[in-house]
Amino acid sequence: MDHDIARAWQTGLPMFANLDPQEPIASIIAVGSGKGGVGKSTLSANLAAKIGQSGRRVLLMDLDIGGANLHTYFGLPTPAYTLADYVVYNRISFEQILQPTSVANVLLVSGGKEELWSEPSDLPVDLFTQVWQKILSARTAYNIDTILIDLGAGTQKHTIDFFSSAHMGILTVLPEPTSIENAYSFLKTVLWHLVDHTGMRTQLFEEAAHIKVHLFQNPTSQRSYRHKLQELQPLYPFFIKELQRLLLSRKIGMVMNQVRCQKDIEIYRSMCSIIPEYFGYPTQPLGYVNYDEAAWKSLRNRRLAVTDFPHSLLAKKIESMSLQILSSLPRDTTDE
Amino acid sequence: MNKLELEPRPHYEIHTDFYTVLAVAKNATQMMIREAYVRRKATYVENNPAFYSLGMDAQSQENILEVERAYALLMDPDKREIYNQELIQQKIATIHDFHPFLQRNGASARETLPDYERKSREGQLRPKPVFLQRRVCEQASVPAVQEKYEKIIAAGDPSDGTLYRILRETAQVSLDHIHQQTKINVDHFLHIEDNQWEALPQPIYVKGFLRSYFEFLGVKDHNRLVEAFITRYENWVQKEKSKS
Repeated sequence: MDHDIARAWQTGLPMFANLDPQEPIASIIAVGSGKGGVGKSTLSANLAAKIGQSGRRVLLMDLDIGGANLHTYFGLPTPAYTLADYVVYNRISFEQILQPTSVANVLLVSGGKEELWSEPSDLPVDLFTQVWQKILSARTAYNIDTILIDLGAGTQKHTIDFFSSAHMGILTVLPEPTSIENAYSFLKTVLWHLVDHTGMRTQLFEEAAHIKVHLFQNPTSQRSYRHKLQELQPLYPFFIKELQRLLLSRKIGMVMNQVRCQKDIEIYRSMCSIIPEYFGYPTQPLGYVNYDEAAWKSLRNRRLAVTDFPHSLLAKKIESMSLQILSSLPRDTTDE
Repeated sequence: MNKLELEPRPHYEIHTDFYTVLAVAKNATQMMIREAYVRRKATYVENNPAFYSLGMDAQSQENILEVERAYALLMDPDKREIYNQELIQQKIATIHDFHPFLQRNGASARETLPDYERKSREGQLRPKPVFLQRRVCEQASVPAVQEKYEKIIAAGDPSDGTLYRILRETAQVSLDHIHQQTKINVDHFLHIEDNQWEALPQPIYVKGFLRSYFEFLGVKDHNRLVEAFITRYENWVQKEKSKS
């Protein structure tokens, strides 16, 4: 059973991410949203600290290309070498950009500044191939248990690739229409890419193209994607079955940030039931984080809220999230 | 492939059962169903900000009707049972979904379920608690003693307390013993056997004492004795009242 889930999970990986099926992999968590400024970086830094405190070795990767600032949360100076030096310039080895942080068990990979990424005139499409190899071999090479990826805003291809490939993609939203709208469009793009990847992995390019046309180029239809996929089942039984197994092998963790009132919590609960119903993703409600001044107070001091204010409501909520995440990840990737 | 063929068949039905509509387990309690219903209704409320940009107004209306139907059916225990049987027949669910603690030995489990329900209704499954069990003295089960009881009752006056003392002595039961078993004050029995009505409490209490007394002795059809004693006692009480 676990083997089946692992196989279904692999079907959704991008083509250039080559995985040796025998190799144990670390569990991958990606934090994304679609809209900027909703607290992705704050959440991933604090979550990494909490998971690290529970005794697991965490690799925190700042893949917010162009807006990397995770080192600030840990009070670290601007790093001398970043991911850009490794990926774009190949100046240094991956070991050299693994930075130890103030929290035990947490290693940080800084993303690098935008100018470094825009240096080469034409970025190769498979720029992230090496990053993928490092992620998939992190468990054997660096004894990492959990990889936490902080993604940037927007729906760029690499962002979606990392989010859709994670064992758990944490969707961060604010109780605002703009954030909700972007979150849904983000999930739509993820579904589009998953159909794409399934088509490539199963060599059914034509069927994938037809399904994409039917799913995404019919704006007048008011049916949900889950309904549409079920309607397409009799036409493409094999493809849809593969896609559904693939969807079931990963999870969307739902987090709402900056909750201020009861109405916000109701929106959060509604979204938790809408996402599985509309998109068909298995969704785990991880909880909401109340609006807390501890977050910006500690950030101003360039410290982490969970270590600076360990008894704040914020810290408690993030701790419960980390426990839920760890207990829901697939067993073969979390236990040796 | 022709684009026309992409259109799904119009009569293709998407099957969802009512448990899936409410997102509850098959063995959910009524409380859980109600909670799920309230939450679903709150989700499909008009202009819910959580639906922003999805354009699902028409489907929300359909969903809300479906939720109402599911709730109405699942909250009615009789209709729910019939619906469950239908789901089992259509092989959408198994009996273990509805009764997760049932023995997993296939067909026999289906047969034992009605038996189990009948037995539990008739109280055959659990022994009665100790304080509800009738206590009977040992001699009562001896046929010779029962015969003696009948002879004594036939010979004497059924409303006479001294007759009861003879019955008790036949069963070889002391007043202390009967007091320990019935937890009734020994004085009351003494007064009954001596026909000391002025020392007895209200007739309704005496009725209860006598019942316990005869039940412990194992006297069959003791109602006649109890009624006779109480009638005579009540008549005496009436006379006392009219005198004063």
